[in-house]
Amino acid sequence: MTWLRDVDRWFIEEVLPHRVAFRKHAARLVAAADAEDLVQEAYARAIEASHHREIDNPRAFVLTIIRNLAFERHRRASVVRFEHLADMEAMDFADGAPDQFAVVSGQLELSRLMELMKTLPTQARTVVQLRRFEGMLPKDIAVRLGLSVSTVEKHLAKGLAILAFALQEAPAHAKGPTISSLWQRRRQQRN
Amino acid sequence: MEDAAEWLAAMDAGTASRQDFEAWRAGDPRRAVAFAQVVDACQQIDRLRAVHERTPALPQRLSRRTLLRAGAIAGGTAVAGGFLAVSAAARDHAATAVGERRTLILDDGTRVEMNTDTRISWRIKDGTRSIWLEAGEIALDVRAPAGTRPDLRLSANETDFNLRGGLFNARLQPESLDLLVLSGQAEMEGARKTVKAGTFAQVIGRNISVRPAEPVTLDRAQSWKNGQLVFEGESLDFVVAEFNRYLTDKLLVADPKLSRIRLGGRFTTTDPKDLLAALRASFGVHAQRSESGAIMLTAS
Repeated sequence: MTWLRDVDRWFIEEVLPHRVAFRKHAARLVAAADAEDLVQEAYARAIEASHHREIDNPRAFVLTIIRNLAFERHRRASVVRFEHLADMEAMDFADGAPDQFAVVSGQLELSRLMELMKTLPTQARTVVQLRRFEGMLPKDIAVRLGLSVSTVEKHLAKGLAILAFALQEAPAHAKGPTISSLWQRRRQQRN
Repeated sequence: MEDAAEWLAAMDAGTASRQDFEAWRAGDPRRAVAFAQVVDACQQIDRLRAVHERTPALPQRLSRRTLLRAGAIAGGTAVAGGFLAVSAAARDHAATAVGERRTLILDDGTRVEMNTDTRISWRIKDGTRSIWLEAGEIALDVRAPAGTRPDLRLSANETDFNLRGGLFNARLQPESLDLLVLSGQAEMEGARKTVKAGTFAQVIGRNISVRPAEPVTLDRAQSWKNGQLVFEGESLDFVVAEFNRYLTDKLLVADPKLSRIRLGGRFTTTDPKDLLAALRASFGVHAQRSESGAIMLTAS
């Protein structure tokens, strides 16, 4: 997609795959209800990074931002939960770059993704499928469905928004075959 | 997130100007984040396309509501809408072209890797699950969490195997059906013969022979998935036949003397260049492309 800047690509490829780790981390530092907001705030800082390509370990980079932001929040807050502070001291950032397996596990498993697709409103799902799977152009989809282009646009936007939102919220490990387990098996077979 | 998705959809449809979009995005880093997350969602669902490629069958029984909905949108879209309707009574089909490989994940979680020039169909319904190998070669990763799933029935050439959770490699040859059991076990219907892990079964007609799998057989079953062919001193005829499965422009041994050459090595299936170079260097075999595109091998 041509409207992605280099920093966006970096963000999608290097940062988002670790979303599960970020959320877990944030949940240990602040109240559960605030965790996602903390992660989003850290993302906003990360995507502003001008030197993004020089960051050796994007995962550790964002984890550090999360910790610093959490610190700030705790300083401002009148009541700090003790276990959060303890965690902050004990936090180990030496986890280094995870291997490819860990990165892949940040991706959502296929079956969960299919479940997500099913939850979309019918029109939105149809449009997303035609656009992303069949590769039909929005104007052709409009003709095929007998809708205006702007309506197709609305359905597409709605579908993608729901999916993008659900992806942030989705649990990392549900039951069922995960991409990561397939990957792991393949690695074992190779060795 | 909604705004970001709207921008993406508008840009995608070409109804928004790049300038307006950039102005919006530059307004707040959170917008840039949301936009990137929506793009990421797009890329993640694109992975579903592989699963989608199995020809979607129309759901057999449409509920009244579905019918109304289908009526609301134009007729043709019912097909796309039916993609997630998993309980098709009819068989699903998939095929690969010469030189193509593809991986499918069936509704029961079974992973099917299809080798070149392969045709399969399958049906997963209620208590039964079946897969038909109509041509070519497949690797199966059959999932079977303790006792909850029935055996997967593999049918080819009028032979039926019941596969119990594990890894299998099945290949339909002109004269035989070859089944390699890497893990789990398989049972041939009617023959009361169990094929255990690490063994290789060959069915010719109603006869089945089972023997421990040779290391090269195991190696081959793994290698084709990575696009590689493995040889251990087989005749050039055999090597050429194996290669030709992957090539649209076939290799042809034009000189019977060459058939006695024996070859070993690991080659990529997509390109016979390495093989031809090895043949020329080691055996002075000459390769020439004929008008039809076939590659003729002659002793120089």
